[in-house]
Amino acid sequence: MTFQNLTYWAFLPVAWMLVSTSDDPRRRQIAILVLSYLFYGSWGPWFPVLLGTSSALNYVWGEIIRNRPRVWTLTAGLVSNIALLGFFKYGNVLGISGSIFLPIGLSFYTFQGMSHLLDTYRERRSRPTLIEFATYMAFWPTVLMGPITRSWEMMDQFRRTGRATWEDLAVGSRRILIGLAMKMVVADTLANGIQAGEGVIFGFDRLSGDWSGLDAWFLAIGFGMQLYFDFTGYSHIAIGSARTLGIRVRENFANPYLADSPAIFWSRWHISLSQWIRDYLFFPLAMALPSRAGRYVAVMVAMLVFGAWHGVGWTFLCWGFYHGLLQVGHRVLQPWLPGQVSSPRLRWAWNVLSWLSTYLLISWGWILFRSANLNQALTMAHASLDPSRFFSLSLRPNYYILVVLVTGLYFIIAWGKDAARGLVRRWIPELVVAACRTTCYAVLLLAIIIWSFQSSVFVYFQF
Amino acid sequence: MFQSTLPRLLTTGLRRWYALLAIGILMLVANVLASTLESTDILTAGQDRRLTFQTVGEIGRLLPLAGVQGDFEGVREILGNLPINRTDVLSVLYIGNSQTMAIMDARPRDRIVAAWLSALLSRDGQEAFAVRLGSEANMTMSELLVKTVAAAEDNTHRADVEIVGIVLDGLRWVEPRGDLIKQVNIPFLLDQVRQVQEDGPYLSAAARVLDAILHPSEQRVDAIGLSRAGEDDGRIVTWLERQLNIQAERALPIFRARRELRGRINLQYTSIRNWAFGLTTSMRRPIAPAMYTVNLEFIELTLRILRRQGIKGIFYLAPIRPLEPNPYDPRDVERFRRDLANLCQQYGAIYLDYSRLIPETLWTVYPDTDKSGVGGQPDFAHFTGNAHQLLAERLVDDIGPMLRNWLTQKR
Repeated sequence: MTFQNLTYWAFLPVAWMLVSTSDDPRRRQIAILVLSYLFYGSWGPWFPVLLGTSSALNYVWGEIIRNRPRVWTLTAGLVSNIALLGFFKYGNVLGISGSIFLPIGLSFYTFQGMSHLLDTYRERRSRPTLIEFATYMAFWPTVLMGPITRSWEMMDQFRRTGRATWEDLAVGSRRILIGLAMKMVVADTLANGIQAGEGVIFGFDRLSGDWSGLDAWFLAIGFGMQLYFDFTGYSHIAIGSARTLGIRVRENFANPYLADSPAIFWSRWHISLSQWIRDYLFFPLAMALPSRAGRYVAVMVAMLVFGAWHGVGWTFLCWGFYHGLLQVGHRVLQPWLPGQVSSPRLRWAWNVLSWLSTYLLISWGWILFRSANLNQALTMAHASLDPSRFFSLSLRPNYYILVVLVTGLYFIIAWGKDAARGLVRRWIPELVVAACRTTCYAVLLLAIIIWSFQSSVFVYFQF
Repeated sequence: MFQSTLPRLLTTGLRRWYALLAIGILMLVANVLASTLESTDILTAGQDRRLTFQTVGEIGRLLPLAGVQGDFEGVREILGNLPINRTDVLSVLYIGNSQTMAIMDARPRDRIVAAWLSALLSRDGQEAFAVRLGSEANMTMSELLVKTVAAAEDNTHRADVEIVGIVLDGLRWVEPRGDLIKQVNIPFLLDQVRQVQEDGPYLSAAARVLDAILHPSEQRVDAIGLSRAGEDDGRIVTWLERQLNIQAERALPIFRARRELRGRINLQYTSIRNWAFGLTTSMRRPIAPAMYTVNLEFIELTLRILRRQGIKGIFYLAPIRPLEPNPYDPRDVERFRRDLANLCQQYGAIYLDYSRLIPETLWTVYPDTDKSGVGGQPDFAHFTGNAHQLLAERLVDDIGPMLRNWLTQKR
């Protein structure tokens, strides 16, 4: 069962009624736990066994660390998690796990388990009961693809008495609707094309070695947008589903493509994972290596881990390395970059240049991320920089139009949203705004239904 | 108390339920509108409303043509319609795109090429030739491969001869329709392709495309991946999902009309695009080199499979409208003419060039009332009933003696 299935549309109201109608935290926790295991179990009968094992393992290690907060207990707990993750994620490549495939969500809930151990070691104690901890690990809105939560931020909410409010239900439903539209209408259309065989999948997986420069750039930008709408759509649904129950989950995206430096991009893209890596890897490393060179090493290591988290392929490692280089390069160049430009016009131009260069560099990186292998990545990368065959087009015209439309609309909405909101509040009566908003939701619902017969799974399910 | 509670109840209640109520009412309206939608043949509507997709009961099958990504049942239909292979009958499978089965301005006595072929070959009253139509609208070369493998799969129903008409537009695409792939015996297809890859140089572009289509990894899951996941894998959730979809389609017209609405949206988009960019049917559209390479490799794989299976292959370059300007780059036409002839010679197939066969008078223009924005423009894809007859007569002239010779050999 995944979020865009009709089964989930039927599951959610039932779950809401079972969870939200109870004032008793214990009853609510048990309801969430049972529903979460049912939800996760729909992917395969042994998946809940693995989740249960991971939960029990981390709970026990958490208790041991709490009673004996030593480096070796923490290390042992972390190693057991890394071993479990490594066996399924990298075992195939290392020849350990044979043909066993990666259980969905493992990377996400393993990181949740590890954060619990690290927080317990740092005496950020949430002191969960076994049921609370199992609920935190299995919580169905986040178990498949995050956002990666922390035990201390979830426990308070699981223990809270009182029911979800009407506002929770309204906000949650709205986010679910927006998320479904982002995923099913925008991301899937970019992936599969306006007509079958015109999308990102076609461009990356079907063409072989004949990409022109424009093809490579359009595919990189198109995939960047597909991934953004896919993952942001998922995050909206996950956060919205949790919110309907009155539980707030941390945000995962904040207009990442508006970033004007690589560091800012990483504070806005897959926030829950980048904050995890920042808190538990980058900060300790940066503190252990306080020199400037040491900080650069910390950045490179953090970004390499970020890449490796996605898989063992060279493409992911190169992608992580590339982003590490971008961040280090930006920091190295910082002293030579103009800090405060006095003229407003020049400042505007400088901001645009910063944003554009960041956006293009980030987009170019998606070639490394999405390519099937390093050979394809190098071929596409070469094509993207080769002026001799830059302008010949190999894809269907609809693809180029679609990418321009989606990218254009994204930036118009992202930049103009706040200004438009202010204007609307000032000039348009509330009743008209409400009517327009409702009509928009109805149109979104209609679009979701129309696009629902050919939806694809979420891209991040593989990680 | 009552006086103060009622307005508050009304305002808070309305505020709570307003959005839900309004959305519900709007969806109800959408449902009512969806229930009044007439089923449109998106493909025909997108090309020409005077276009008649024909088939003649005894020689072919009624092709389902609903929707852009509609229910194509080509493979199963081919297998179902191929007769039991008898020693006294030559089984001929005729494959092409919509040009082979669509007639412009159809008149009551008009017939498509396959029907003419069947009639002309059986002029002497003998039922010695069984012609079957395996065409697909907008057929890609990967679909040609799939159909060819399907035609060879069952020994008791296999075709003896395969006639293939290739239009240049068939080289602009490569993706096979997901619904078609779903019906293929994938292990058999992969086995056949693996075997024929050894019959000559490794055809890497086609192999890569096939691999991506037939083995969508977790990372590369697409519509085909989903449709596969939606197959009956025995899980309760899969069954539940299917049941919910069936029930939703039964109960709500809006769910039932999903494909129809999606097709209409695509049609509307195409119309707006053509208007915005000033696109016409005559605009020159060169074939992208990557598309050309991979499609040519698919044709070569098809030829290898035909040779290995002992099926006689007859490939013809389909008629091109002799009107300037036209959408085909002369260099593309020349290159394909040369490459197809070479491939046919290499693999022992018959090559025929019918690119100049149909005179301008037997092609027509789109009517001014056309809704897809091409009214008054020439149709480069389809021709009239007389042209179908002309093409069939020419085919019989060129290959009739050969077919009779093969029949004699078979007997």
